[in-house]
Amino acid sequence: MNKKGAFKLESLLPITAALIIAVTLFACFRFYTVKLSPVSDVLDINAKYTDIVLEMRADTLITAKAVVSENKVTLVNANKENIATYAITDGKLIRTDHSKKSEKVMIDKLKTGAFWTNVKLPNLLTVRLLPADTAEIPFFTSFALRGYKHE
Amino acid sequence: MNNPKKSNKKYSDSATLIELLVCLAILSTALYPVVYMLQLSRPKHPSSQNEYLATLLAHHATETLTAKRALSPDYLPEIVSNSPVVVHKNSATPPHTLFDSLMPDGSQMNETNDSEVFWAFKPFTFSIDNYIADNNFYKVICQVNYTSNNMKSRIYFDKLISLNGSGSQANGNDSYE
Repeated sequence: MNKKGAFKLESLLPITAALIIAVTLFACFRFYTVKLSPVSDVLDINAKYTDIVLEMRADTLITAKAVVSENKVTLVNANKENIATYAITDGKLIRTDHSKKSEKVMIDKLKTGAFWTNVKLPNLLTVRLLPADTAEIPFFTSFALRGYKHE
Repeated sequence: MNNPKKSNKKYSDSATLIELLVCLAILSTALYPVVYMLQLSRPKHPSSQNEYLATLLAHHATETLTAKRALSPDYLPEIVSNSPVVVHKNSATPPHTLFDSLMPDGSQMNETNDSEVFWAFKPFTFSIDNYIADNNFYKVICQVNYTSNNMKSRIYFDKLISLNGSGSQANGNDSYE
C-alpha cells in the first residue's frame, strides 16, 4: 500500500479549514478597515463638519439669542442662561457646554472662522470656517435660532 | 468484505480532497492582494466634497426659510429653477432670496467680498418648488444641483410649512441622479 503523506487526513482537515476561515475573515476585516489616505481625509473632515452641524443644530433649537463677538458666539436660551459657546482659538473650534462645564475641540487646523447674524435676519446664525489646507472644502451654513423672540 | 481496489480508490480520493483544501487555503490567502487591488481601484469619492457642500447649502436654505418665516409668518419662497447661489459676473439671474444674506452685512456673496467661499459655491445652482401638500400644509423642496463626473447630481431637503402659522416640521432627505 502506498504511503500518502506525513500527516493523517484527520489532522490536516481541521487545520486547513481553520486556515481558510481565518484568512477569509482577515480579508473581509481588511476590506472594511483599509483606508486610503485621500479618501480618509475627505471622510474625516466630512465627519467633523457633520459633528459641528449636529451640535449647533441641537443648540440652536433652544437658542433665543446669539451673542456674537470676534471669533466667538455664545448661545443663550429664553431664560438668559448660556447654552454653549463656540470659539475659535489657535486654529481650533472649541465648544464649551455650560451645563456640563465641559470643552470639546470640534475641529482643528483652521485658517479662519467667523460667526454672525445680520440686521435683516437676527434669528439666523451663519457659520463660516476655512480650513488651513486649501484643498479641503470650507464649512459654510446657517442655523435658525428657533427660540428667538422679538424684542 | 474489503475490496483492495475500492480501498485504494478511497485513499486516492482523500488525497485529492486534501489538495483541494490546500488549494482553497492558498486561494484564500491570495484574496488579500485581490481585496487590496479592489480598494485601490475604487473611486476616491470625487463627488463627496461637492456632495457635502451641496448639503450645507441646502441646509442653509431651509434654515433661512425657517428664520424668515419666524419673522414674517406669511413668507413663502418664490419658485425658481437653477438660479445661482452666489453673484456671477456673467449671469443675468440673481441668487434666490434665500441666499440674499450670505454676508455679515446682509448682502449677497460675490467674487470680491468672500473669494474663497465664492469659488467653492460657484458650481452650484439652486431650485425651489412648493405646493400644497394638505389643506394646512405647504411642502417646500429646496434642491441644490451640481455636476459630478459629467453627471447631474442634486441634494434636496424638503420642509412642511404649516399655513396656520402654528409652526413647521422639517424633513431632510437627499437624492442623487
